[in-house]
This record gives sequence, structure tokens and C-alpha cells, in this order.
Amino acid sequence: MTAFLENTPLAAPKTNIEHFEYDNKIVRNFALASIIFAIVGLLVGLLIATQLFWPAANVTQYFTFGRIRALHTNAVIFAFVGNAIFAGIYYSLQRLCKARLYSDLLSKIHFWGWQAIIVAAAISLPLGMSTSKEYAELEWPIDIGITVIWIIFGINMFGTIIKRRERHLYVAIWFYIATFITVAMLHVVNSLAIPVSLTKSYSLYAGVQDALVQWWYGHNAVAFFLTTPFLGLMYYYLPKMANRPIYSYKLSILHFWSLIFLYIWAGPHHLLYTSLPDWAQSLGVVFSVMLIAPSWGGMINGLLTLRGAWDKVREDPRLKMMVVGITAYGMATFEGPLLSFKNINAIAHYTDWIPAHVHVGALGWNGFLSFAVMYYIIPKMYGREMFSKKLLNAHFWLGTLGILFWAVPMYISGFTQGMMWKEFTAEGNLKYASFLETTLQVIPMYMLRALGGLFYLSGALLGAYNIFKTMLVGRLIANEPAQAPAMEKVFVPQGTDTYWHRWVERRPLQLLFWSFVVVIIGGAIEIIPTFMIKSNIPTIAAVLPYTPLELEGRDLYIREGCVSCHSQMIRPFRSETERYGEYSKAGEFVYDHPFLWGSKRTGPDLHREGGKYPDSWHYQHMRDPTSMSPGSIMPPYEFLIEQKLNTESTKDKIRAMKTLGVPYDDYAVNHAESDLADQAKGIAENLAKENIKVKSDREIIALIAYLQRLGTDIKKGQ
Amino acid sequence: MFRQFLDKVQGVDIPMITSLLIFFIFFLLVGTYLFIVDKKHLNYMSHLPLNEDQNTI
Repeated sequence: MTAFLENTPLAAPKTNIEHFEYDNKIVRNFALASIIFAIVGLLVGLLIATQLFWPAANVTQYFTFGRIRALHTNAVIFAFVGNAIFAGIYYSLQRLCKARLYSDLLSKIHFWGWQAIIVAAAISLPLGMSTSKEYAELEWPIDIGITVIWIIFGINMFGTIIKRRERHLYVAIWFYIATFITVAMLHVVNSLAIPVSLTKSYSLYAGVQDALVQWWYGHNAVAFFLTTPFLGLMYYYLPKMANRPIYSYKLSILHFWSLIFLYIWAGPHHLLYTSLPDWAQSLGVVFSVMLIAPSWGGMINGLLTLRGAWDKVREDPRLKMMVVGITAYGMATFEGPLLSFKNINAIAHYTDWIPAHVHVGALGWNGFLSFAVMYYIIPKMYGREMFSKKLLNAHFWLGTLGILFWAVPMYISGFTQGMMWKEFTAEGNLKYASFLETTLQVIPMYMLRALGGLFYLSGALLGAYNIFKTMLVGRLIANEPAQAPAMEKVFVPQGTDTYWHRWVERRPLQLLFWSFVVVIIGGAIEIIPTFMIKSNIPTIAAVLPYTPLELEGRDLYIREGCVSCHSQMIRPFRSETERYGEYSKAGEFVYDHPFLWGSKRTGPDLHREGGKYPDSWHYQHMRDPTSMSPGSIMPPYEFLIEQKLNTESTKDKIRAMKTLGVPYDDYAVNHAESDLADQAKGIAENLAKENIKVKSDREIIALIAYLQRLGTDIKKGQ
Repeated sequence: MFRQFLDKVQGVDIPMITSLLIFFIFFLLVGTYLFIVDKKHLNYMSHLPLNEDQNTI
């Protein structure tokens, strides 16, 4: 390589050599945090997987499935993968820019701030403080913390780019910049909420609009937190590991721009495409299918980099991880567009197919790339080989087995559910009228999935041991000396410089500004129809705001994470209207801050639950679900019977809702507590008639009030 | 279910067409750039991660 550079006019002139040091300590800290949180996040994942076939594993209210599912997703996405991204970016950015990170202080604030956010999440989620919006469950004070720390990360990154000694920005850095800007925008727009207290807020958006904003965020968060940074990491670390340049730099640029544009602009089309005229529907499908091209551009570029180097792959477990990871990326991005087809989505949505799809990407692409990157940077920073190559290989095989045992049973389970939910008898009745029957059918698959999780976790544990041992035996080169020629203050064209390179790359701040403008335009074009919708949702006169007691019940539903397993969105299919009742109308959700449509049915849909069963059924079912539904895997909620409903902020909640445009009058605000007490008394008396003695101020009463209200307004209208 | 209310939004197709056009034009520009860009430059760029090793002392 050195020979190549010396023999070309591209080699940097050997004048004005500056000496500096790379900051390895901050990289090591992020890597260490990543591996520790990987174990925690995967362990919680194994626990929730176990709870789905062994409900007794729901120990205490703080560790029920509904509450800690969010803990699992947040821990793996933001703690394990997030820290790995920062470690990978900070290591490669310094070397690609030939400069130390912009500010040691900002690096430290970034590191400790991010860990503080993780700790806050780990405490608040089991306590039930949740907004219920998927992958954005954290409450508003933590959201503000995330924004501040993310901006600090941005300043540190752009500062480093500004003081770089390499004129040209390698493609990996473009991916990092796209990650920073887009995640900032997505996070801020989706997290807008009105606070009621320090631990509770209501989404600024309601119903359909909230759903659109949430999935605009959700889809693009996958794109810009779990895809673009990893493509950037792939473009740096794969050439390093294989010791050869990327297969096609042209392709990397082409697929970078296509990916950014298609994701940010076409992403939510697969939520929207049924809503437009025919030509636009076709366009939506075309856009989604088009996304395969840039995704596969990345995959192919990665895999072809290894052409002629497969002997290295055979010997180097890190490269094996890269290959499986990149292949998993290719599979998941092929499957994504398929899932956006209406007829496939009709079967796959709400089933285990979706977690299977997600975990191929998460365990394969994100997990394996994170580990491979750490296995590369830690020996480099400690100036020695990894402690044990055998353990590296064992990690690779356990992880690969883990991915297979996780995904394959879940695909089988997803197909099974999708088919069973839709199957009719010759007489035209639902073949599996009891939802529980379809759940019990897939329990063996849930067990196999947990086994897959156990394999993957065991691999990670070996990885952690191997990394700790390497750290203990070696010594960190905290400040790694380096040298590079200074970048001239006045532009001197060298090698391949052209006017346009100079124009773009010599102006990082303008670059930041214009990239931001581009994303904002993209985001605006995308989101404008969403905001126009609000005034166009057909209102239903019979739909009224929740009573104070129902609203408190709804907040308990949010606290307990019921939305993790129960949707509130009946699709207009015969199989769904037969099972659940009238399909859901947009106008029914206009007062729902936040929306609670859900994305997965481990239990049945609840949108028409109101009035289906007597109050006593709900009481007994919440106390012990198996008493009403033998074999049910739902955790018991007897603590709702014991705990007193907190009505301290009921009035504030109604007031906040009023601010958001829910038509409560002043009387409703002022009499919130007495209204609540009256309605609660009625339910308690109702229960007493069936020999159930419970005080009217218990949480269970509010939850029953909410469940009995669900989907009933429209019936009143009829 | 989005159809029932999105259809009623006036001019909802304008942002859609705009996004397609902007994407398409930008795609053509990037494509053209890549077609005319100097091969030596691409070669230099693709070797950036590898030539950095000579910087560490």
C-alpha cells in the first residue's frame, strides 16, 4: 500500500509534518460500555422471550413483559449498538481525518451523558414511565437529555472534520454525517409532547397523525440509527480487516445518495401507499422496491470487497462476522420491500414475522458488525492480539446458531399465525375463533426462539470475557502518537483535486448547513401531507373525549405496556371483522394522545373490547388471566387490585388534553376528580353485585373503565 | 384506511411528485458526476482507510 502511494503523485507532500495523538481512551470507554450493555440488553431479551412461554417469569410488576420489552429494545438499540456506533465512529473518524477528536471535554460529556441517559432509561422503563411510542418510549426529560448529548456528539464530529489534515472526506464520514443530522430531526419531531409532570407527557399529535409521525420516525430510525452508521463502519473496517480497498468507490457514492434520498422520502410510503390514487400507489410500491437497489448496492460492495480474499475469511472470525452480518443486511433489506406489498403485509402484519425480520437485521447486521468492529479496535488500541482466537471462533458460531434459532422458528410462527387468523370453515365461520388457540399453537416456536437468544447471549458472554481478558493482559495506548502533513490554509490543488472537490470539501460548515437543508426539505415534503390530514379526518359525532377515570385507565394501559401485545386497530378484512367486530375508523382516534394501535398481536386486538364482557370478567382476568382463559400467557396483574389510583394529576391531565385541542370544557377540568370518583363508585358497585369486593379507588377500576369504553362510541352512534 | 382521508387532502400528490422529481434529478446528477469523475481520484479515495497506517508512529 505504501508502495502504491509513493509511486503516485497522490502521496501527500512530506512537508510541514505535524505531530498529534489519537484519543483511544474515549473509544475504549464506548466499546466497554457497549459490551456491558450488550450482555444486559440480551439478558433482558432472553427474559422476555422466556416470559412468552413461561408466564411465571413475570416477577413483580417491574419486570412484566409489557414494561421490560421496551427496556430490551432500548438497551440493545441505544446502549449496546449506540455505544458501539460511537466507539466505531470515534476510532475511524480520527484516523480518516488524521486529527485527534475536536474536544476531549466534549468527548467526555458525550460518553457520560449517554450512559446517564441509559441508566435513566433502565430505571424509568421498569417503573412504567413510558410514552408507549415504539423505540421512543422515554419520557420528555430524558428526550431533552438525548437531544443535548446528540448535539454534543455532532459538534465533536464536525469539529474534528474541520480540523482534519486529510482534505478529502472518505465515504464513511458521509454516512456518519447523514446519521447525525437525520436522527436529530427525527428524534425532535417525534418526541414533541406536552408535559403533565416530570414523568408523564402526552404526544402533541393524536390518532392517525400520531401514527404517521411515529412510523415516519420508526422507519427512518431504523434507516439512520441502524443502517447508515453501520454502512459507514463497514466502509472503514471491512477494507482494514481484509487489507484491501472497497470493491467500488463509485458504487459507494451512488448507493449513499440513493439510500439517503429513498429512505427519507420514500420510507413511509409503505404506510401511505394505499391512500393515494392508483398511479401514486404504484409509485409507492416502486419506491419501496427501488430501495432494494441502494441496500443491495451496499451489500454487494461489501461482499465483493472480499473477492480473492476468501482465504482470509476462512481464517479470520471477524471477517466471518462481517460476511454473515452483511448477508443478513441483504436478506432483511430484500424482505423489507416485500413486506410493503399490500397482499404480503395483510398476512405478515401483527405476526411474529415482523420480529423475525427485525432480528435478522438486529442480531446479524447490527450485532455482528458491532462485535467485529470491537474485535478490530481493541487489539489495535491495546497493542496486542485478542486474548483467544478460539473464543472468537466460538462466539461466531454461537452467534450464527443464535440468529438461525431465533429467526427460523419465528418465521414459522409468523406464517402459522397469519394463516390461522384468516382461516374459515366451509360453513363460513372462523376456524380458530378463539385467539388463544392460535397463540398456544406457536408456544414451541417461542421456546426455540428463546434457545436462539440463549445461544446468541452465550456468544456475547464469551466475547465479553475475551475482550476483558485482552484488556487485562494488554495495556491501553490511551494517546496514540501520529503524524501527518498540515492541511494548507490556502488551497493548493494537489493530485486529483478539482474545483468542485474544493468547493464542497473545503467548507465543512456549509456542508453541514446544506446537508441539513436537504434533509429538512426531504422531511418537509414527506411530512406535509401528514399535517394536512388532521383537518381532513372525517369526524364522528358520537366519538367523545375519555372521562377522567377512563383517561387514568388509559394511562395505566400505557404504563403497563399493554400495547406491546394488543393492537387497537381492526383492519377491514373479513377475518378481522368476524373476530373483533366493526373495523376501526380514523375518526375514532381523534382524542388519542398518543395513539395505541400497536404493531404486534401476541394477544387479541382490543379496539372493540368495550362491552364484550362484564366488569367482573375483566376483574378476574386481570387478577389471573388463566382463570378466564385457560393456558393464557398473559402475566397476572393482581397488583392493580391492591394499588391505589393516583389522582393527584388528573386535573392537570385533563387540562393538558384541553390544551392539545380535546374538547373538555372548564367544568370538566374543575370537576375531574369528583367525576372520576362517581364513575369509579359505579364500577365498584357493579362488581359488588357479583360478589367482588374492591374499593373504588383502586387502579383496576380505572383500567376496567377504559377497557369497557374501548370502541363503544361508534356503537352509540348507530 | 389512509385512503379515506388522504384522498380528500387537496394537492396531496404535489409533494409526492416533487419528491420523485428531486430524487430523480439528483440521482442523474450524481450518476453524471460518477461517469466523468477522474479514476485516479476514486482510486485515491478508496485507499484512504488503508494509507492512514503510515501516519501512526
